[in-house]
Amino acid sequence: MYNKKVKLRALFLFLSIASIILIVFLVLKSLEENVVYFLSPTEIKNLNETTTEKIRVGGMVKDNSIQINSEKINFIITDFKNEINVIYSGIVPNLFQEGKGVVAEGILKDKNFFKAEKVLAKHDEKYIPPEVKASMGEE
Amino acid sequence: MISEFFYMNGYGYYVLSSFLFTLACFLGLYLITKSQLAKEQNKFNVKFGELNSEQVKEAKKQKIYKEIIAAEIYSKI
Amino acid sequence: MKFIKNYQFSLVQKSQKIVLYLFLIILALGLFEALILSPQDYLQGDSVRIMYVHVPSAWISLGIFSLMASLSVMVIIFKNKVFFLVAKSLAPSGFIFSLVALVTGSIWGKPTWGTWWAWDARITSMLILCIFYLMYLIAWRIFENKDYVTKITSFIAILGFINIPIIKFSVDWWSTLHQPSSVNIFSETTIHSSMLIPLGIMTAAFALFSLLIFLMKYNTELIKIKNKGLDRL
Repeated sequence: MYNKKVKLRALFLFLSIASIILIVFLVLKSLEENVVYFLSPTEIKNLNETTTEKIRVGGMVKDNSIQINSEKINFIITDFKNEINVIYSGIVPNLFQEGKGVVAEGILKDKNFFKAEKVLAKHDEKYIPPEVKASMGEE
Repeated sequence: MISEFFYMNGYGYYVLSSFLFTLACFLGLYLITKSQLAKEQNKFNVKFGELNSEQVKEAKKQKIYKEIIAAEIYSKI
Repeated sequence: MKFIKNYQFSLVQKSQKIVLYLFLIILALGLFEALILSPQDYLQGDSVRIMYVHVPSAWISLGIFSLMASLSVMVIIFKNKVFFLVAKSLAPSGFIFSLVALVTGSIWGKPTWGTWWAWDARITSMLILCIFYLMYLIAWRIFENKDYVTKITSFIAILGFINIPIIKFSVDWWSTLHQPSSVNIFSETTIHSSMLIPLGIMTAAFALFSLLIFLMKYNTELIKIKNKGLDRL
């Protein structure tokens, strides 16, 4: 058996780690809004009041929704439950495509209309060579 | 062929810079660690060279592991 | 002058050399696989190749910190010097790997997301890990008292360990710009096998590199103690 000092140190360490974990958990819980990088269209819809602050909206670019007319890009972000219209003027990243993830940063005009100042592509976790992807499409 | 490899459809700049950064970090860390090791080795050599024959015998008796492993017990944490 | 080899160091030195050569061979193989043989991604194109240095670095920096934290627990409970020498020798390579993961991730983010940096949960928690490594390394230098420095660094490692599950699960708990993990034990891995091979080889090479740095660093620490022993004669 270990002596009493060793056991006491183990207990002290266990208690301090447990309390620190609890504190971190509580802090993260209370900061949840700030830890979340973007809101989904459903979360936007459920907001009680629309803020004029800069926020981020994320989801999928809806199929056949991208319209480009003279430096302005319109598209729809969807989470397959709710949708939000986005207007943006500027350069979009290469991976910005229909049916792929996107995060737009900007100002909410109303619950259905979002004016983006920055558009980021959100990549998914799939890594597939092009030939394999092509044969997957045929099936 | 070669230029195609470096170009990588426009991503070559990003890909190669990240690989070069990684390898440069490796090389830097390796050289720093190596020089620290060499410094201590030189110190050891100088100290060992200064010993007389009796001290050498004594030094060979010193057990390095005895010193490291010796657990120190303190009354408080 | 050649280093006198009549002490226990010769074994450590020999293994150092073997690990160095093994690392160079596997690194060469891994680079060839990662840069030339492996295919492009259907969406990311060639920028997917950055993954082969980014992901192994991130894995190994997390692994080394977990190891350091568990060793530090042993240091505090049992006051055993070997554990803290091992933890101290592990830190430099862990720090370099966390730095590599951050920088290469940033380089990957520019062509893929369209930004160098985003304050999302994964990236921020990874930055915190890097800072913890730095704090650990600096603490060794600024505190003179030996007993004090052991306790401080052990507490830094244990405190920083709380961050590790946050890094791991940040992509599942919160909405982040960073994608969820692709290589999973309990659910399906979403990386095609032709891309898993270079990833595995690079991970092996990086692990060997951290082993090499660990051996050199540990050797240095042993000689330092030996030098102190000679001073006492």
